[in-house]
Amino acid sequence: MSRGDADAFWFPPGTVFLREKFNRGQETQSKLVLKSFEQIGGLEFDLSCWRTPDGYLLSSIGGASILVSDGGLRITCSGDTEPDAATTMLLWGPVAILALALQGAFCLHASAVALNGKAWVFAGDSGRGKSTLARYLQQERHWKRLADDILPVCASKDGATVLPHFLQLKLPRNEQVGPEVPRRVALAGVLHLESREEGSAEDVTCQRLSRQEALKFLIHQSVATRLMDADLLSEHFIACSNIAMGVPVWSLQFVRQREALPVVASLLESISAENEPIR
Amino acid sequence: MNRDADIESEVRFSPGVLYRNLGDGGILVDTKNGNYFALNRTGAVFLEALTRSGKATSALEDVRQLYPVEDGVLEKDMLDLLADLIDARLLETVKGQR
Repeated sequence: MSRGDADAFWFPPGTVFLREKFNRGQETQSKLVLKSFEQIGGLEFDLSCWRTPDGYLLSSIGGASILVSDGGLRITCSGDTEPDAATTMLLWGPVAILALALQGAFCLHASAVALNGKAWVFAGDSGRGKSTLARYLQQERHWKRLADDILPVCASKDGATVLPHFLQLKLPRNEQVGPEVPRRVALAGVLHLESREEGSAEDVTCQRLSRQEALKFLIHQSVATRLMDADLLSEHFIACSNIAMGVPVWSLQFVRQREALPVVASLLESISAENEPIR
Repeated sequence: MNRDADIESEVRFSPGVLYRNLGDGGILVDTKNGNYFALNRTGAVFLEALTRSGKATSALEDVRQLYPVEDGVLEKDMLDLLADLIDARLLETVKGQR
């Protein structure tokens, strides 16, 4: 058993990485959660995810098997060689997301920025301007960008926080958040970006979603839920419910033009100044 | 319309179905397929009473005490909701207990 280099990757404090040969025969005692072709970080995987008595076992045909156990704090790669590129991508992607989920942090497909020490999350389907808006707010308005694609969120009845140190695969190393950013940042609000192709740059609207709409949206924007078994999905549902109950979620509609971004930014600054999270 | 749903129905959540009251209504999600079902406040009261007792008759009585509307109207609305939830496989009837 040896400690691997994987601990150089971003994972929650206390996570232990091991490389050892383990018996894939334990799949026979396990339940298959997912078997599918997946694209992760530009690579293609014939991925299987099993719920085993010890945790979650992810394996790709011709590649490594990785066991996530001990409540997400122990990650074991099969074999005794250095992780190859495909294994590394599995570690950074679905393994990290599962490990966090087992520790109560569920990932949203979102970008995020911080203003006055609180996080504002931009979620929505691909191509809606999440990254563009976060980059604009950082470069032109001096908000701090916290995430560009995947953002772990912890939620309880007492409030929600985001974990901004999660590795952002879409950003170069020098644009990842630095040590000056706290490991947890209070979540102030979530915005569902609904950009449109035509219209006036001045025509920006922001409408508060009902809690039901917010919950449906948060579930829809969650990442890698297909890897989770019924128990973990239940915890995910409770976490999303807690966010919907305690954090305002808005629908933000704007035209996809650079000229609209200052209007969006001003609106967000005004919401940020007025916003008091509902408890 | 589900023909199994009537006032004597005994029901429970189907496996994999989760429910949460959000204050302004409730929401059910089927974790097997990701389908959602949103309930208004009255529907949430009925569902919660229904899943507490398992029986449509006592759930209807609970709702009647909170929302004093004509008996026939309330019964029809709640049985329609019950049928919709069974059709959506979010609730299942308990076999052999009727």
